[in-house]
Amino acid sequence: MKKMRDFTIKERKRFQAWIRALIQLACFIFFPSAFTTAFAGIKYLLTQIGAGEEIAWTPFVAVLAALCLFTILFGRFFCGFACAFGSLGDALHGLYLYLLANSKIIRRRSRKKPRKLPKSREKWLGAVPYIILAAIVLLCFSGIWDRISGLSPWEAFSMLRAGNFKLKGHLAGLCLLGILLAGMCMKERFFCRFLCPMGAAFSLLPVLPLSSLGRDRERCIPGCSACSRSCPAGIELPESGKKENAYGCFQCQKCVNVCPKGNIYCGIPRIRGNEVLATLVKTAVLAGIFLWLDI
Amino acid sequence: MRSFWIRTVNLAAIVGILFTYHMVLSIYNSKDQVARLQAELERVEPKLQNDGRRSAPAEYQDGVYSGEAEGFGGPISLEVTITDGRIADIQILSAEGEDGAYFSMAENMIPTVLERQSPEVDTISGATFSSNGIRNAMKQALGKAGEK
Repeated sequence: MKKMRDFTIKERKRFQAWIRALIQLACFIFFPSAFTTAFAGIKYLLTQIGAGEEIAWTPFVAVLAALCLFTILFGRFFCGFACAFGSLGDALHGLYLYLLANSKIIRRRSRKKPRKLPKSREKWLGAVPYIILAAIVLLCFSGIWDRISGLSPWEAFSMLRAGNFKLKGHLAGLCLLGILLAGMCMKERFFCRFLCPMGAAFSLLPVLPLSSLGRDRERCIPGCSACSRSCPAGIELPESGKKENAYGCFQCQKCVNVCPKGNIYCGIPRIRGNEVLATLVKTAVLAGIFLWLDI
Repeated sequence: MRSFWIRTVNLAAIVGILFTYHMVLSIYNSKDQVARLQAELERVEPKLQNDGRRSAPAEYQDGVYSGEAEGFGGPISLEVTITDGRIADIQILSAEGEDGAYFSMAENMIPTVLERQSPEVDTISGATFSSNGIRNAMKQALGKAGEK
């Protein structure tokens, strides 16, 4: 059998993209409410504590705990492959890129590639998810959240997804959802990087370095930076020999496949060259968790 | 590596706080419940001796009644069993459109309904749609059972 690194970069990229798209589609169809359920766990805990009520091991808490444990072990793989909202964003962004490349109407108005935000602004925006998480936590704690949950774009999304069109109290959420989807369309993973409160909670976890990525810097082509440019999370991989976890990384593996020299390696050296297998194993574990918890 | 340990300590602290909160509150609540049950017992006991029968009067006609109502993503249908004029059992027949975890949360209403013998219980926060579906379906079924 040919190893992954024997394929050309283009073949590898395409193969990886297909595998990821298939996993995302399957998760969107079978486990579309996983991300809201985990977040409902956070909201449940804070609401109960704020009201002085008992907290119990409810299904919400179980899903939250399971996903946190999974993230500690494998990093934010859930975000990159299984979150229905992220997948929807990826699909919209893919469509946007396709239209940019193929449609005359859009191309006339803008460039062939999407605009990039300046690095300094990206860094500042990266703090916003934590602010949103803190705000929602406080709102739940003070018991206000239940009354204003119509503002939640996730709730509007979940309702549309379930075919529930009684959106009367959710107009604000629906408008926000529209804005978010437009943002996701223009910039890959815009919501996940700059807004998502669940992602903020995940990236506060101590992630074990099993899936963290590094690079053999001395083998790099000078001035290449293909990995940094391909990264939807805007991460720059650490210099050689360092074992620094990138807490924003959601394991999309784009950098691994785009590297012309195959310089990027994983926390477990044996995975190198078998990244697809590792992806499938993680998917299987995650699907097992979902089925077990009956999401 | 330093940030990893800081995060570990943070997480341990959060889990610790949640666990302590849970323990303290469940001890506090169980004491509270013992007191409440004792008061209830004292209130009910003389009554029992007086007329020799259970306190709650029969409210519904015996039988099995079905009810259906809109949940989150489709209809929820259930069956209410009435024995001796009391709500004895509530069985969910189907809830195809509901999300697993949300629906299990909403199902927590059922024990409360059995305890209070009334469908008028608070909805489960975070699973409002499923809770409303279950509540409305119960009301429909109990409507058929008719209050005596």
